[in-house]
Amino acid sequence: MTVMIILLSVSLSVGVFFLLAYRWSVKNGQFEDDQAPAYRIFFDDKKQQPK
Amino acid sequence: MIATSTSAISTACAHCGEPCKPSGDRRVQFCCTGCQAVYSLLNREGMSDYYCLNETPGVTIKPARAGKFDFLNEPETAAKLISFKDNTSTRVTFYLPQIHCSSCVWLLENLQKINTGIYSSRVNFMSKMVTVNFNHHVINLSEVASLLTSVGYEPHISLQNEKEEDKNNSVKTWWKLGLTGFCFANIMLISFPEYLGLDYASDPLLTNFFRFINLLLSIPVLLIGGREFYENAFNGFRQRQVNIDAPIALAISITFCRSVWEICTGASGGYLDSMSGIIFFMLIGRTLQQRTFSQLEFNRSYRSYFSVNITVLKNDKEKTKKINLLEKNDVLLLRHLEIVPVDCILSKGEGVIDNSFVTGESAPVNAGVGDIIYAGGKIAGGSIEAIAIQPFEQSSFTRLWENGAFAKEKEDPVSFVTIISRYFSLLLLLIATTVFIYWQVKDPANAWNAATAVLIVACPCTLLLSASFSYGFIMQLLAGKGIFFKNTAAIEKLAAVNKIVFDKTGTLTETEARVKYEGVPLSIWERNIFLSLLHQSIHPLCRAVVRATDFSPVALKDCREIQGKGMRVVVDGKLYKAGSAAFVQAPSGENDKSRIFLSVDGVIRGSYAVVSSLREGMGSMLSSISGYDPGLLSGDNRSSLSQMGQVFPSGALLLFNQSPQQKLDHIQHLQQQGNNVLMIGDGLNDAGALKQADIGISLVEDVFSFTPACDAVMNASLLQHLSVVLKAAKAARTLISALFIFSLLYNVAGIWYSATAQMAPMIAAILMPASSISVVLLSALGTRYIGWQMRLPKTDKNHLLT
Repeated sequence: MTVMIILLSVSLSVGVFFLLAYRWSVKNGQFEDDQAPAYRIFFDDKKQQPK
Repeated sequence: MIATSTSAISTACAHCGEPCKPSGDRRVQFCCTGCQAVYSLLNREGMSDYYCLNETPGVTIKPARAGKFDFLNEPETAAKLISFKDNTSTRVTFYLPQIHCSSCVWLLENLQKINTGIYSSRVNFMSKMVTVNFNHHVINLSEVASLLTSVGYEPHISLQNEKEEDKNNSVKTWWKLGLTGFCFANIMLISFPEYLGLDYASDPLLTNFFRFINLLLSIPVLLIGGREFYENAFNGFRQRQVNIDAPIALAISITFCRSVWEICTGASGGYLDSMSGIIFFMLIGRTLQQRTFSQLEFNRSYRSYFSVNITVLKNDKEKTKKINLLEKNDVLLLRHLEIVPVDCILSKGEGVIDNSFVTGESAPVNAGVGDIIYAGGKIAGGSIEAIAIQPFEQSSFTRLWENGAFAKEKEDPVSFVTIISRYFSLLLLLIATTVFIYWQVKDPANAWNAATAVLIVACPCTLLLSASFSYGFIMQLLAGKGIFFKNTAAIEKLAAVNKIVFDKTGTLTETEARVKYEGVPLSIWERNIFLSLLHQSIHPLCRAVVRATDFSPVALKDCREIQGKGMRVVVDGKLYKAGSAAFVQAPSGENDKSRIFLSVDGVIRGSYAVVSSLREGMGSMLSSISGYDPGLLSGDNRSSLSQMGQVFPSGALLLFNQSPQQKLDHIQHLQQQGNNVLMIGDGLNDAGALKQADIGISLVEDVFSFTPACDAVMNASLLQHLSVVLKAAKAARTLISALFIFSLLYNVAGIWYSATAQMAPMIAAILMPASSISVVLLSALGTRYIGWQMRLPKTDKNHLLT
């Protein structure tokens, strides 16, 4: 059953990796607005290039 | 808009979807010229996609005064909005409350198509902000604001920006929740093997490994997730109070210490799963409860009512001056719709001053050269010049704010959550001590175990959960119906109200006057002539009639206005006169002051009567709340006494001619008699009373319009359902009390188990999530039930809930 120790360590480090990714996304402001990006996908991209 | 004439068939405005009368044979219809202007602008710029993404995505356009945003060109003011500036480009962030759909996002992110000075723009939908990058050599800040206004998104500019702090707070909250959730879930998972039969004796290595991993994971929960509970408890102690966080902080730390001890001695896995679980649930509850409506401003002072800068004339040159720097003898130039900033003497021009917001007087007054006009009045008609007789800080208007009611923040009343938690904590310590002594005598080995178990199990987390979840849900529910509370304490206060006082103008009556024609019916031709004639006048009555009536304008030549009396014009040899009773030689009757009489060639035709009309359903609303002894506090004159007497229950106290100070004093008087007073008002003249009252509700047509400081903002249309709102607040209180009792039962059961020293980690592990989840579930169901009982439609006119 000692394999459990390795498995648990691995799975926890994967978990911690995602926790850190979550922290980055929070700091990056991805939780501030969850509506506008969804709308933006549907806009036809015929924007003029800004000068 | 209130008009007596009903339109034939109404269609929807192509821009905003408001119902409007079809005119001509156009394919698209508009409710107002503002909407039409936006529509044609967008079509001209090739941006008609705006209308393809959603049906009628626009917001009804309100005309904005030209030069309204000039003050943004002052570097000092601009600096508060600008987040970045270099040689050519500037980045500015505006708050646009109108944002509500994908079309809004599309339009606002394509601003560069309309003006090439704009590089790019980005919308934050949740906070309704748009960030614009622009070349400040091509377009300046005030022009950007005007551009946004011209496409229907007028920025709301309040210069007291605290958004940055908000943002940091939300980052912290999200991170705290995420971290605690992560640790809690893992601890739960890792605790499972022990519940399912993993035995320390059979596999000490694995068991110890699981236990220490749990310990490691619980440290961030304890330090980061639980931090606010220690802080709150500590702050409470410093103020010599025991708040609900104190027993929670105690329970958390004891749980942790005992778990560490049990793990280190190898006795058991401890209660780390329960501990992280309650912290996680309580954090969710707190977040829900604290999610208030940051877009609304509840604490506005009188300053935000005035524009920041005032145009001052110096040596015949116009200069802008900060409002608080105004001095005596400054010559002010006041334009249409501007607010008079200080008491002053009119020196040039004819003014019509609308004092309704300040004094509650419904009829605007005329002011001529030499008249004193008071701060807070709104200029209607043409622009005027006036000489300040006082500096800004000393004006009659600002003095009200020196009253004690404004000096201190209203203390939050002692919520019954606090009271219960105080007794609860004492009782808890008492039980723990008794249990300790009992076991010390009977079986000393069990004493520590039993006493700490009591403290762990009796943690009032379910009490806290039931309060925070229920208040959070109720606040959302009521917001959906159109009443927005500043905080949850306000709901509790509303439930305790036993006396209601109303303002009249703008609260019980409509802000827009209703116009009635009495007399011989006019032919369409005559009607158009009369109304076109009245259209030429700036007299408040004429304006009220013209605003509320539909007509096709007729070009009139040589209209003549006899100041203060009436208007005359000759059309096709006939003399048309409109004005006071004396002017058209009509017999005098009742309410002449609010009538315009009409005559053709000296023959009286009839009169337009302007009456301030009651809002719909006021009579039934007032009788439904007769148990609250409703009263009236009006700044207006007694002319509407009979009208008010009819709608109020007999014996109600109706006070007229009240100054803002008198209103405040009256509320104070009522409170001294032991009443919990609810004041409902809308204007600045109610500001003192709203602040003094136990709970002040501001009534608004549009939640973003200016409201005096208050505890809640209510949509005007909800006023007729006031009794339903009061019932809901009471039901919320009952719900929370019921949930309290329910959660106390859990505690009693838990205390029983632990006091008799039967508390196994397994039972704790079941009891904790069961109690938390059932309380949350019950509060959600209870709130649903209250909402269903209210039977009111959900409204979200201002897109606050999107």
